[in-house]
Amino acid sequence: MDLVYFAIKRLAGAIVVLFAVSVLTFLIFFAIPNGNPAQRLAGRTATDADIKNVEHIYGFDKPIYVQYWRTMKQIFTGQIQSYTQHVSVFSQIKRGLPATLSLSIGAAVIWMVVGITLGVIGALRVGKPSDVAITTVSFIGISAPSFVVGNVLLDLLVYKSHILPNVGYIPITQNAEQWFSHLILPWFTLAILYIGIYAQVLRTSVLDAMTTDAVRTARAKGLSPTKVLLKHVLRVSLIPIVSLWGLDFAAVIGGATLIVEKVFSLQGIGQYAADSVGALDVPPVLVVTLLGAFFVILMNAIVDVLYAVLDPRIRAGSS
Amino acid sequence: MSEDILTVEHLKVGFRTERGVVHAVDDVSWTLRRGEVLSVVGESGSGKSVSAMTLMGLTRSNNAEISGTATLADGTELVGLPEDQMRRIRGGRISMIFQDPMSALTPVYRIGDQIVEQIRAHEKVSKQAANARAIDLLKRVGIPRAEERARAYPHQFSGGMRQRVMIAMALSCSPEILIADEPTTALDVTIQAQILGEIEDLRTETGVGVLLITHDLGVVAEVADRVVVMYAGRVVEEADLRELFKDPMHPYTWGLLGSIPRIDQARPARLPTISGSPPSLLNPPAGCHFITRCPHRIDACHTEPELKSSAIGSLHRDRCLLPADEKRSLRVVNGSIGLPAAAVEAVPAGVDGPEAPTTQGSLDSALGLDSPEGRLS
Repeated sequence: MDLVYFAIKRLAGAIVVLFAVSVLTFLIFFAIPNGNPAQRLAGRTATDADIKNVEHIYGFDKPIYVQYWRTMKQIFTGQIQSYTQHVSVFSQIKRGLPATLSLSIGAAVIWMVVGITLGVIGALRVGKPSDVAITTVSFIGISAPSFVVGNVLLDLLVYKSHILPNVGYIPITQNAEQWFSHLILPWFTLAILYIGIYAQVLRTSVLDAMTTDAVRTARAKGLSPTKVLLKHVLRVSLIPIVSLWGLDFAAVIGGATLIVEKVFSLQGIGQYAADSVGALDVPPVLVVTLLGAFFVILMNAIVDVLYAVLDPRIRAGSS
Repeated sequence: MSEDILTVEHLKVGFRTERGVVHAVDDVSWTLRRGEVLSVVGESGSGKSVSAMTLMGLTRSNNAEISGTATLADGTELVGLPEDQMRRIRGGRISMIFQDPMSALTPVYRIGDQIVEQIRAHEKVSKQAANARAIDLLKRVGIPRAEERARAYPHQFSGGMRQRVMIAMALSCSPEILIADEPTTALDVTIQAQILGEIEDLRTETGVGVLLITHDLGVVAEVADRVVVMYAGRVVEEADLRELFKDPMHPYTWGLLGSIPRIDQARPARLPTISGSPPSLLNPPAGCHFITRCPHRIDACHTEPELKSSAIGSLHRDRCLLPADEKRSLRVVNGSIGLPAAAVEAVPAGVDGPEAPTTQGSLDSALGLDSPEGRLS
């Protein structure tokens, strides 16, 4: 019963959010100066009459809500096409999806593993040189923009020393080894920011947990330091990390991969959306934005469920 | 005379800080016997909790200096015991319950599992056997429907029930010694009485020696067999319960007893307090630590008095050098035991001033008077 209520509430929220996101995205393109897509569609040498003609064919002369309605109908029937390339938006997204998913899932795994490890080491060695080093590296990671990190890594490891292969994406189905070696740099470039954040958040969270009464009890029970750390400190301090991870992962899939995709020419969804924005091509942008928003909502719901699994106090609150 | 199960001698615990060494426990000695409740009383910062945590090896750290001895019945020396052996003692031979049962359990595990965890940390038993024992323990400390409740989480229990769980957990490996650090302070009065009753029953049934740390003289009067009064890191008086209340020999003890409101007398406009505040443990006064607040101080108090009994062969010991007869007359204020008010003028020269401004609050809390459940007999 609880679960049904939860699902309905979430679904209703999702619809409202998706509607708002679609309207906003749509309106932004109307607000852009010289944003009339008909002008671009008709070509550089087009006459006013040509433009009028294009406007009529695409329905740009209709009121904005009619246009919105038509576009949304096309999206939900899957028929939407890009203005500039006249190809199905969904087929383009399907082409870019493996690269984007490979990049973001791989990076998310790396930043969780490395971030948690560094955070725990920092907390256990608090004040010592290794803690200071981890904090310093974290802040470098947080403040270095990914286009700088990506290009520096490319220059050092690809162009200068040829340790890793050149840019581009190789599907895993084609050659798993190549897929991996082509993604190492993008993964780390994307992950380094989150590694820094997660290491610092976890370090603080572990330090807080270690001074709690419950951990004192665990030590007084005669448990080994490893057991105290894993079962009584980490288990509790990982709870906030999980919700952070859900939101960050959703944000990454929903577009934060853009710069990394661009630097490493991965031809993923992020790059597709960026190119479409440049061409004032509304349909792909709209679809990618909605997908991103949908993913954020989905991850939020997953995090809520995970939260309830991890923390019994939350389960009690909802029932 | 019953058997000594823990003998603490000249225990000192200091913590190095940037401002110097904080002498949290300064030469503490006492003995705990099988089946007795030894109560350690004193206000916050008197070193009572630190000495207990030290016995469990929980104050060990890079900046801690620990010396003296703490010996179990079989001769095991706790001070300096290697960590892996200390771990077997912690929760096995000595277990501990704490002040705030609301936060003492890890929130994400079922309480049964938390008890099982302790049993299996000390004994090689199957999960089922440990679980059965956990349920028995819960039944024993008065938790209804124990089988079912063992599967509940800590937040589903009230404070009193959680403290019962803590007691069940502490007893899970049949310890010789139970250290109870302010076990009833966070509980309301009726629950306090139940928990104290529980502890009382346990020591008669199992012969466990209980070290009861508290600032509530009402609790002391209710369950203690013997009492150790601590002040600024030192034991200032040690006596049987009855002796301590009837014939207290240290001015600090008089002050404590004098500040208990009496229900059989007219209520004074203000509750009597001990003027001043405890000295800084970073730089305690030379000689008697109570010198800065004691209205009966004499020049000789600047040399450190030792803890000794006033009558030969008596187990009643105190750390005040005034003659016993003089003390018996000095301690009577307005017909009952206490300290004369407004005794403290200037702090004697060469002595570090008090750490905090004089507040009524510090002593009120030391006596459990500031909380609604503070209960004095």
